[in-house]
Parts: sequence; C-alpha cells; structure tokens
Amino acid sequence: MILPYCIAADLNISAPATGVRDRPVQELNQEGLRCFYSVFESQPESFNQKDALQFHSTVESLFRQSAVIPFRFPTTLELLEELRQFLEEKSEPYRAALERLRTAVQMELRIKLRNEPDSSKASGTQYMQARLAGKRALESAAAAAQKTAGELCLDWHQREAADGLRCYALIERERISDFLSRIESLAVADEVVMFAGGPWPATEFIE
Amino acid sequence: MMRRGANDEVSLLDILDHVVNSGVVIQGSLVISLAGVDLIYLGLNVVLTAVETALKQLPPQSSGLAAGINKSTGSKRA
Repeated sequence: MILPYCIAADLNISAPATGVRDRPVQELNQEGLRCFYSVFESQPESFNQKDALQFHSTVESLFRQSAVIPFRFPTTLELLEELRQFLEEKSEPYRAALERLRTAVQMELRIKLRNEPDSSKASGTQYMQARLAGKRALESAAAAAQKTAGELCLDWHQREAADGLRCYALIERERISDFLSRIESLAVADEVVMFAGGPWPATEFIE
Repeated sequence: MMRRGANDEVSLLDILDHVVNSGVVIQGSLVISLAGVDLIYLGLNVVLTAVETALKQLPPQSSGLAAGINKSTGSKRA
C-alpha cells in the first residue's frame, strides 16, 4: 500500500528519512514533480492520531523548505503505478501551482462570535435578527483584517464555517511575522473572537 | 480580541483538522479512526473527510449525504 505525503517541484529540498510508522520516505519523480510517499507491506486496519501527527510532521518538514501540495490524510493507493498515473494527469496544473506559490504560504484566521445567539428565549424574529447582526460582525471583522493585512496579502479567500468565518491569506513566506503583527494589532468588536494560525501549505489557493 | 495560533502554538486540533481536511485526495480504501476528530467514512473509494468538508462539497439542492462526485479529485462519494 502506498501512502503519499505531498508533491513538490523544488529540486533542492530533502525529505526526512522516515514518515508514518517509521516507514522510509521514498520519492517518485514524474513530469517535473517530486512526490514523497511511504510503502506499507499490508494495509493497516486503521490509522490513528499518532499516524496523523507523523504524517503532518513529514509534510511539515518538506513545507519548511519549499511549497508543497499535501495529500489529504490518509489517502492511500494500492500500486505505485496509480500514483504515477495521477501525477501524469495532474502534472501541468500542479507544476503551475507550485511555481506560482513557490514562495507563498497560507495564513488562516478563524473568526467567531464570543456568544452565539440564544434561540431558547428570543422570538423567531429576534433570533434571526441576532443571527444577522452576528453575521455582519463576523464579516466586518474579516474585512478589517484583510484591510489591515493590506499589501501583504497576495490573495484572500474566506468562507463560512460551522463555527463562524474562516479567512485564508496568501502571503510571502518571509512576511509571516509582519502579517501576524498586523493582525495582532487589529481591534475587533467585543462580540467577536479572532484566532490566527499558520503558516500552512497554500491548499486553498490551488484549483 | 485577537489570539495567535502560530507555529509554536498550533493546537493538536488544528493539525488534525488540516491533515484530514486540506489537500489532494485520490483513490483510497481505508477506514480510519482518529480519536477526538469527527470523521465520516464514505464509500469504497475514499473520501474521508470531516463533517464540515462533506457539507461544503454537497450540491446546494442536496438535503443529505447524497451520492456525488468530487470534481476536483474525481473521487466518488457514496
């Protein structure tokens, strides 16, 4: 069984010796792409949290060196040939994405309301009005964050999530601390809480 | 209020959320159990994803976890 970690294009990066369950990290070169993976002699009955963290550690080790496109854990394949075929099919868009994102990383903001509207005591209208006000507060905070980040943002995506709003900022790798400093200095409304995280591989900016 | 969850403070949940929610999916065939993470296993050809991702990928007219194709990956969802 093949467990792929990520795809890179940079020839200068090197993979850690071992990955999930201490299996050796191997490399497949195809169409100008480098795909890192481990081989398992038999398919594990299930992966666990430790495996997920080792997977993350392996991808992170490569991402620290250059842009990567990670696989979602635990994507698995029976044969190396399937991976080869996949890379062949995706070589053009992935090469273009890795070139475009070569020096960029993804920073994330999770914006949520400190207190969700209480549906038990309010009328339907009051509840919906409270929800609308909450939605506007989240969007206002996101707009303020984007404005504060300013020219640091090469691109910006945002979408609603179950717990609020998630924003994704594409920034240059060397500007991470600048971005965080700016976001930390941002004053948001009392009813809103904002969490910043990253850097992560720029998966939100890959088609 | 702004809180930082940067490199040195990345929470376990953030990491697990990313490894199972972000990135490329191709064919797979595995059931997974990750303690503390709400996961769904769908079909024989992976899609293993968190609830949020599954809902996000549903077509607007769907009322439940109906069959569909994840166009970005070609993975089949049962």
